[in-house]
Amino acid sequence: MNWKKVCAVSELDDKSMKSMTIDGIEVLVIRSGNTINVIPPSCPHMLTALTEGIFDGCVLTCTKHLWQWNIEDGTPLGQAEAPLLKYETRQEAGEVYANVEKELSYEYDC
Amino acid sequence: MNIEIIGKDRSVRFDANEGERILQAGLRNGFALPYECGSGTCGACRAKLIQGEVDDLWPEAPGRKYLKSGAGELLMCQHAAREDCVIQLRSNLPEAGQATPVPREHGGILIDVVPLTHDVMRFSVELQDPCSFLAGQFMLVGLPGLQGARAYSMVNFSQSAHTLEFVIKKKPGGGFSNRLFGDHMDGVPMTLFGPLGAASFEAGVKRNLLCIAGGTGIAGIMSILAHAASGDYLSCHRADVFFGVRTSRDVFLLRELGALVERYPESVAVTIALSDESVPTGLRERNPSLRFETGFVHEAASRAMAGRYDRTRAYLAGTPLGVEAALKMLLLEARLSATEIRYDKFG
Repeated sequence: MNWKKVCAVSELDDKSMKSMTIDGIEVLVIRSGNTINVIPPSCPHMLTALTEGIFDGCVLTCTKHLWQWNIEDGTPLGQAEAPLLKYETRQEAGEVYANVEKELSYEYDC
Repeated sequence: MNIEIIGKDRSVRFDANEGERILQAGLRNGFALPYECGSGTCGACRAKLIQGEVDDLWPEAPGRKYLKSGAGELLMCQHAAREDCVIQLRSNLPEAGQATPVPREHGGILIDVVPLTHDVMRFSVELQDPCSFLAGQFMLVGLPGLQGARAYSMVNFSQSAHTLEFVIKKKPGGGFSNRLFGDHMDGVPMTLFGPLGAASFEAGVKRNLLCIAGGTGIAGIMSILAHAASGDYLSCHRADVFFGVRTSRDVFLLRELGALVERYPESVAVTIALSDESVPTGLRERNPSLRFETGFVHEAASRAMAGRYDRTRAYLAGTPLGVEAALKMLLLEARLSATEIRYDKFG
């Protein structure tokens, strides 16, 4: 376990995404309501930067080939063939923490 | 040489000739493979070489920036096999569309090079043998003595075309466009590979068409409209076309677009959006069938289409930034399903 503080919930606008580096690992932090998700910043398909993606508060769309995911559980929607990986997170006293023990990435054989 | 491509879901095998691009070898053999530009730019055909030796035909390909260094990755569109190869994809193998014509090499000669604006030309290629393609598809076009082929969408449409029409924008330092913009080009032999591209139209989609294009991106849209107008599609479906350029100096194909509106006044509407200039006097009067607006093309589309996205299929074309702005508008504002949006991103 390597729990690191990400940021305060209040630092993130609702329905928004923010690129951050936690313990040297690049992540994308996504807020929808009171839920904060921390994911690797790239698309599982061609590793396109998801910071350039489109997020409507519920569905994240990669603009390269329109792969889409339900951000709540990372499940693929529409044309997407693979789920999003997510870092384990928890909230305490308005702060978000993520377990960044190992950098999550998308490999050819995953 | 035998090539095996391993997708996440299944594998295919085909033969490739010496020096032949692996992507083109697979496509020519009737297999669908992941690609977008087919010309070394977009990185969509990146894959991992598991076994075998390859030659890099264009080491300076811009699409190389997407490859992870030291990971044994290659661009299938710019590598040729030197021996039997095994290649792994990052995704499933795409399904081959039943109606999609199998791409191959075509020979032809350049004819009818005509300037349309100060920096856009129209040119045609008279083919040795007729070619079938889907409206919205493109060809890789090569000129003798010039390294690499460029991707251009067909402007015209015919079930079996003897001539293919294209538009090209003059780019500063662009070897290809500079050659075409030069003198005495009529009759020059050309080689083409295609047809390529998935952002195509078939009458079976039975949707209203929303076309948002910037600059020469209008090419593939013209082909889609020509196909729709060749049957009775536009008698039962709408086509809303938004064509963005910078200023009134940059407009082209207005006569063709105006003629389409005059033929289908009830179902076709065409708006020309000028991003860098307010609509000058006389432009509306000279083109009474067309609408003109100032602003970005996706904004013009957003204003005109509000509340009218029922059963709509959107086709986007233009610069990567322009396509992205239109995409954002359609997903976030219009709430159009991503499965109803088509584009081929060359950038």
